[in-house]
Amino acid sequence: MDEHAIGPPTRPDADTDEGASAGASPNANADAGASVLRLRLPAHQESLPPLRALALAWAEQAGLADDLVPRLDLVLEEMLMNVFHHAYPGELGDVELALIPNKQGGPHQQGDRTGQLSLSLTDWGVPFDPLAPPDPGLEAGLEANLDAGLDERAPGGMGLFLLRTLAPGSSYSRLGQANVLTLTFGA
Amino acid sequence: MECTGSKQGAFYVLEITGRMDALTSQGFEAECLARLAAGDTRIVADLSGLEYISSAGLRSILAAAKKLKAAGGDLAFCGLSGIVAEVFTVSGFAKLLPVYDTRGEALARS
Repeated sequence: MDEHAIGPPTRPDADTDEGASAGASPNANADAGASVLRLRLPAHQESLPPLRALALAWAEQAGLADDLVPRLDLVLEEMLMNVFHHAYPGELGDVELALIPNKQGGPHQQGDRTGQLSLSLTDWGVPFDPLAPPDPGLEAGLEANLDAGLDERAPGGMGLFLLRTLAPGSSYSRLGQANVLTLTFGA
Repeated sequence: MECTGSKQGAFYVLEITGRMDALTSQGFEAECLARLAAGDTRIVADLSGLEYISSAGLRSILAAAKKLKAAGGDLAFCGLSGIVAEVFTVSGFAKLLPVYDTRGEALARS
Protein backbone atom coordinates (compact mmCIF):
# COMPACT_ATOMS: atom_id res chain seq x y z
CA MET A 1 0.00 0.00 0.00
CA ASP A 2 1.35 3.36 -0.98
CA GLU A 3 -1.72 5.40 -0.28
CA HIS A 4 -0.02 8.32 1.41
CA ALA A 5 2.76 8.76 -1.10
CA ILE A 6 1.03 11.64 -2.83
CA GLY A 7 -0.13 13.45 0.28
CA PRO A 8 1.47 15.13 3.25
CA PRO A 9 2.61 12.99 6.19
CA THR A 10 -0.23 10.98 7.55
CA ARG A 11 -1.81 12.03 10.79
CA PRO A 12 -4.10 10.40 13.30
CA ASP A 13 -7.61 9.74 12.07
CA ALA A 14 -9.10 12.35 14.31
CA ASP A 15 -7.82 15.31 16.25
CA THR A 16 -9.88 16.54 19.11
CA ASP A 17 -9.82 20.13 20.08
CA GLU A 18 -8.34 19.99 23.54
CA GLY A 19 -9.34 23.55 24.28
CA ALA A 20 -12.99 22.85 23.62
CA SER A 21 -13.19 19.50 25.36
CA ALA A 22 -11.42 20.88 28.43
CA GLY A 23 -13.43 24.08 28.37
CA ALA A 24 -16.28 25.00 30.66
CA SER A 25 -18.87 25.34 27.91
CA PRO A 26 -22.18 23.89 29.12
CA ASN A 27 -22.73 22.43 25.67
CA ALA A 28 -19.34 20.79 25.37
CA ASN A 29 -20.72 17.36 26.14
CA ALA A 30 -24.04 17.79 24.39
CA ASP A 31 -22.68 15.72 21.55
CA ALA A 32 -19.30 14.16 22.05
CA GLY A 33 -18.81 13.70 18.29
CA ALA A 34 -19.03 17.42 17.68
CA SER A 35 -15.85 18.09 19.65
CA VAL A 36 -13.79 16.35 16.95
CA LEU A 37 -12.60 19.12 14.67
CA ARG A 38 -11.28 17.08 11.79
CA LEU A 39 -11.55 13.54 10.51
CA ARG A 40 -9.32 11.98 7.87
CA LEU A 41 -10.40 8.67 6.39
CA PRO A 42 -9.77 6.54 3.31
CA ALA A 43 -11.60 7.93 0.27
CA HIS A 44 -14.07 5.10 -0.15
CA GLN A 45 -17.75 4.56 0.40
CA GLU A 46 -17.46 3.10 3.91
CA SER A 47 -16.21 6.53 5.07
CA LEU A 48 -19.47 8.24 4.16
CA PRO A 49 -21.44 7.38 7.36
CA PRO A 50 -18.80 8.55 9.91
CA LEU A 51 -18.04 11.75 7.98
CA ARG A 52 -21.75 12.48 7.63
CA ALA A 53 -22.39 11.85 11.32
CA LEU A 54 -19.63 14.28 12.26
CA ALA A 55 -20.90 17.01 9.94
CA LEU A 56 -24.43 16.62 11.31
CA ALA A 57 -23.09 16.85 14.89
CA TRP A 58 -21.34 20.10 13.95
CA ALA A 59 -24.54 21.39 12.36
CA GLU A 60 -26.44 20.64 15.56
CA GLN A 61 -23.83 22.39 17.68
CA ALA A 62 -23.72 25.38 15.34
CA GLY A 63 -27.51 25.76 15.53
CA LEU A 64 -27.90 25.47 11.77
CA ALA A 65 -31.48 26.08 10.58
CA ASP A 66 -33.57 22.94 10.10
CA ASP A 67 -34.06 23.54 6.38
CA LEU A 68 -30.29 23.90 5.82
CA VAL A 69 -29.30 20.62 7.47
CA PRO A 70 -30.59 18.42 4.61
CA ARG A 71 -28.79 20.68 2.13
CA LEU A 72 -25.55 20.19 4.03
CA ASP A 73 -26.23 16.44 4.13
CA LEU A 74 -26.83 16.34 0.38
CA VAL A 75 -23.93 18.53 -0.74
CA LEU A 76 -21.54 16.64 1.54
CA GLU A 77 -22.60 13.29 0.07
CA GLU A 78 -22.29 14.59 -3.48
CA MET A 79 -18.82 16.00 -2.89
CA LEU A 80 -17.60 12.93 -1.00
CA MET A 81 -18.82 10.62 -3.75
CA ASN A 82 -17.04 12.83 -6.25
CA VAL A 83 -13.75 12.43 -4.34
CA PHE A 84 -14.32 8.68 -3.82
CA HIS A 85 -14.89 8.08 -7.53
CA HIS A 86 -12.59 10.56 -9.22
CA ALA A 87 -9.82 11.93 -6.99
CA TYR A 88 -7.57 8.88 -6.95
CA PRO A 89 -7.78 6.93 -10.20
CA GLY A 90 -6.35 3.48 -9.68
CA GLU A 91 -5.27 4.00 -6.08
CA LEU A 92 -6.72 4.68 -2.64
CA GLY A 93 -6.06 8.04 -1.00
CA ASP A 94 -7.57 9.96 1.86
CA VAL A 95 -10.25 12.56 2.34
CA GLU A 96 -10.43 14.93 5.29
CA LEU A 97 -13.41 16.78 6.69
CA ALA A 98 -12.56 19.75 8.93
CA LEU A 99 -14.64 22.25 10.85
CA ILE A 100 -13.80 25.87 10.17
CA PRO A 101 -14.29 27.59 13.51
CA ASN A 102 -17.16 29.98 13.79
CA LYS A 103 -15.98 33.59 13.83
CA GLN A 104 -18.25 34.28 16.80
CA GLY A 105 -16.63 31.41 18.69
CA GLY A 106 -18.24 28.95 21.03
CA PRO A 107 -21.40 26.92 20.68
CA HIS A 108 -24.48 28.64 19.41
CA GLN A 109 -27.26 29.76 21.75
CA GLN A 110 -29.45 26.77 22.38
CA GLY A 111 -32.79 26.95 20.61
CA ASP A 112 -31.67 29.68 18.23
CA ARG A 113 -31.63 28.03 14.82
CA THR A 114 -29.90 30.82 12.93
CA GLY A 115 -26.35 29.52 13.15
CA GLN A 116 -23.68 29.27 10.48
CA LEU A 117 -21.52 26.27 9.67
CA SER A 118 -18.36 26.28 7.57
CA LEU A 119 -16.45 23.15 6.81
CA SER A 120 -13.75 22.07 4.42
CA LEU A 121 -13.28 18.93 2.42
CA THR A 122 -9.71 18.11 1.41
CA ASP A 123 -8.22 15.48 -0.85
CA TRP A 124 -4.74 15.01 -2.25
CA GLY A 125 -5.79 13.65 -5.61
CA VAL A 126 -5.92 14.98 -9.13
CA PRO A 127 -6.55 18.74 -9.28
CA PHE A 128 -10.26 19.39 -9.66
CA ASP A 129 -12.32 22.52 -9.05
CA PRO A 130 -15.98 21.52 -8.66
CA LEU A 131 -16.96 25.20 -8.80
CA ALA A 132 -15.05 26.07 -11.97
CA PRO A 133 -17.39 27.67 -14.46
CA PRO A 134 -18.10 24.83 -16.87
CA ASP A 135 -17.29 25.65 -20.44
CA PRO A 136 -20.33 27.12 -22.19
CA GLY A 137 -20.90 23.98 -24.23
CA LEU A 138 -20.99 21.78 -21.16
CA GLU A 139 -23.24 24.20 -19.31
CA ALA A 140 -25.64 24.34 -22.24
CA GLY A 141 -25.50 20.55 -22.37
CA LEU A 142 -26.41 20.32 -18.70
CA GLU A 143 -29.25 22.81 -19.09
CA ALA A 144 -30.51 20.84 -22.07
CA ASN A 145 -30.15 17.66 -20.06
CA LEU A 146 -32.33 19.09 -17.28
CA ASP A 147 -35.07 19.65 -19.83
CA ALA A 148 -34.46 16.45 -21.75
CA GLY A 149 -37.10 13.78 -22.01
CA LEU A 150 -36.81 10.40 -20.39
CA ASP A 151 -35.15 8.76 -23.37
CA GLU A 152 -32.61 11.50 -24.04
CA ARG A 153 -31.60 12.21 -20.52
CA ALA A 154 -28.13 11.14 -19.49
CA PRO A 155 -27.28 10.46 -15.85
CA GLY A 156 -24.26 12.13 -14.26
CA GLY A 157 -23.16 15.70 -13.67
CA MET A 158 -25.99 16.13 -11.20
CA GLY A 159 -23.81 16.18 -8.10
CA LEU A 160 -21.87 19.24 -9.21
CA PHE A 161 -25.08 20.92 -10.30
CA LEU A 162 -26.58 20.33 -6.84
CA LEU A 163 -23.43 21.75 -5.22
CA ARG A 164 -23.69 24.99 -7.21
CA THR A 165 -27.43 25.26 -6.68
CA LEU A 166 -27.78 24.31 -3.01
CA ALA A 167 -24.49 25.54 -1.52
CA PRO A 168 -23.98 29.01 -2.99
CA GLY A 169 -21.49 29.92 -0.23
CA SER A 170 -18.78 27.54 -1.47
CA SER A 171 -15.20 28.13 -2.54
CA TYR A 172 -12.34 26.06 -3.88
CA SER A 173 -8.55 26.32 -3.54
CA ARG A 174 -5.70 24.20 -4.81
CA LEU A 175 -3.23 24.34 -1.93
CA GLY A 176 0.02 22.61 -2.80
CA GLN A 177 -0.99 19.05 -3.66
CA ALA A 178 -4.44 19.40 -2.09
CA ASN A 179 -7.92 20.17 -3.34
CA VAL A 180 -9.74 22.14 -0.64
CA LEU A 181 -13.46 22.78 -0.98
CA THR A 182 -15.02 25.06 1.61
CA LEU A 183 -18.76 24.90 2.20
CA THR A 184 -20.67 27.47 4.22
CA PHE A 185 -24.30 27.16 5.27
CA GLY A 186 -26.34 29.74 7.10
CA ALA A 187 -26.32 33.52 7.41
CA MET B 1 -34.34 2.97 2.57
CA GLU B 2 -37.36 0.72 3.07
CA CYS B 3 -39.78 -0.34 0.36
CA THR B 4 -43.24 -1.76 0.93
CA GLY B 5 -45.74 -2.32 -1.83
CA SER B 6 -49.30 -3.20 -2.68
CA LYS B 7 -51.44 -3.56 -5.77
CA GLN B 8 -54.01 -0.76 -6.12
CA GLY B 9 -56.19 -1.15 -9.20
CA ALA B 10 -54.07 -0.84 -12.33
CA PHE B 11 -51.09 0.38 -10.32
CA TYR B 12 -48.52 -1.05 -8.01
CA VAL B 13 -47.84 1.39 -5.17
CA LEU B 14 -44.41 1.42 -3.57
CA GLU B 15 -44.08 3.26 -0.29
CA ILE B 16 -40.51 4.43 0.09
CA THR B 17 -39.27 5.50 3.51
CA GLY B 18 -35.92 6.57 4.94
CA ARG B 19 -33.04 7.76 2.79
CA MET B 20 -32.16 7.24 -0.86
CA ASP B 21 -28.42 7.86 -0.77
CA ALA B 22 -25.32 6.42 -2.40
CA LEU B 23 -25.38 3.45 -0.05
CA THR B 24 -29.05 2.48 -0.37
CA SER B 25 -30.61 3.80 -3.54
CA GLN B 26 -29.92 0.86 -5.87
CA GLY B 27 -32.64 -0.88 -3.88
CA PHE B 28 -35.24 1.31 -5.55
CA GLU B 29 -34.33 0.26 -9.08
CA ALA B 30 -34.09 -3.37 -7.93
CA GLU B 31 -37.58 -3.18 -6.41
CA CYS B 32 -39.05 -1.68 -9.59
CA LEU B 33 -37.38 -4.35 -11.72
CA ALA B 34 -38.76 -7.05 -9.42
CA ARG B 35 -42.27 -5.62 -9.93
CA LEU B 36 -41.67 -5.47 -13.66
CA ALA B 37 -40.62 -9.11 -13.64
CA ALA B 38 -43.83 -9.89 -11.73
CA GLY B 39 -45.86 -8.19 -14.48
CA ASP B 40 -46.51 -4.76 -12.96
CA THR B 41 -45.54 -2.04 -15.41
CA ARG B 42 -47.35 0.94 -13.87
CA ILE B 43 -45.76 1.96 -10.59
CA VAL B 44 -46.58 4.81 -8.23
CA ALA B 45 -43.83 5.62 -5.77
CA ASP B 46 -45.25 7.28 -2.66
CA LEU B 47 -42.38 9.33 -1.24
CA SER B 48 -44.23 10.84 1.73
CA GLY B 49 -42.00 8.86 4.10
CA LEU B 50 -38.78 9.62 2.22
CA GLU B 51 -36.56 11.98 4.21
CA TYR B 52 -33.67 12.42 1.83
CA ILE B 53 -32.53 11.83 -1.73
CA SER B 54 -29.19 12.47 -3.43
CA SER B 55 -28.09 12.24 -7.06
CA ALA B 56 -27.51 8.52 -6.51
CA GLY B 57 -31.24 8.24 -5.78
CA LEU B 58 -32.05 10.23 -8.91
CA ARG B 59 -29.91 7.87 -10.99
CA SER B 60 -31.76 4.87 -9.58
CA ILE B 61 -35.11 6.52 -10.36
CA LEU B 62 -34.04 7.45 -13.88
CA ALA B 63 -32.85 3.91 -14.61
CA ALA B 64 -36.10 2.41 -13.29
CA ALA B 65 -38.28 4.90 -15.19
CA LYS B 66 -36.52 4.15 -18.48
CA LYS B 67 -36.96 0.40 -18.05
CA LEU B 68 -40.64 0.71 -17.11
CA LYS B 69 -41.25 2.98 -20.08
CA ALA B 70 -39.48 0.56 -22.41
CA ALA B 71 -41.89 -2.12 -21.16
CA GLY B 72 -44.88 0.07 -21.98
CA GLY B 73 -45.43 1.18 -18.40
CA ASP B 74 -44.61 4.24 -16.34
CA LEU B 75 -43.35 5.47 -13.00
CA ALA B 76 -45.15 8.26 -11.15
CA PHE B 77 -44.47 9.94 -7.81
CA CYS B 78 -46.49 11.48 -5.01
CA GLY B 79 -46.05 12.87 -1.53
CA LEU B 80 -42.79 14.78 -2.04
CA SER B 81 -41.77 17.24 0.65
CA GLY B 82 -38.73 19.05 2.04
CA ILE B 83 -35.36 18.31 0.48
CA VAL B 84 -36.89 15.57 -1.70
CA ALA B 85 -39.25 18.06 -3.35
CA GLU B 86 -36.40 20.56 -3.66
CA VAL B 87 -34.09 18.06 -5.36
CA PHE B 88 -36.85 16.97 -7.76
CA THR B 89 -37.40 20.60 -8.70
CA VAL B 90 -33.81 21.76 -9.17
CA SER B 91 -32.82 18.58 -11.03
CA GLY B 92 -35.67 18.88 -13.51
CA PHE B 93 -37.10 15.51 -12.42
CA ALA B 94 -40.38 17.20 -11.45
CA LYS B 95 -40.85 18.04 -15.14
CA LEU B 96 -39.37 14.83 -16.47
CA LEU B 97 -41.60 12.44 -14.55
CA PRO B 98 -45.25 12.54 -13.48
CA VAL B 99 -45.37 14.03 -9.98
CA TYR B 100 -48.60 14.40 -7.98
CA ASP B 101 -49.34 15.99 -4.63
CA THR B 102 -51.34 13.05 -3.31
CA ARG B 103 -51.53 9.32 -3.89
CA GLY B 104 -55.18 9.73 -4.80
CA GLU B 105 -54.27 12.00 -7.71
CA ALA B 106 -51.54 9.64 -8.86
CA LEU B 107 -53.99 6.72 -8.89
CA ALA B 108 -56.74 8.70 -10.61
CA ARG B 109 -54.77 9.27 -13.82
CA SER B 110 -55.36 7.07 -16.81
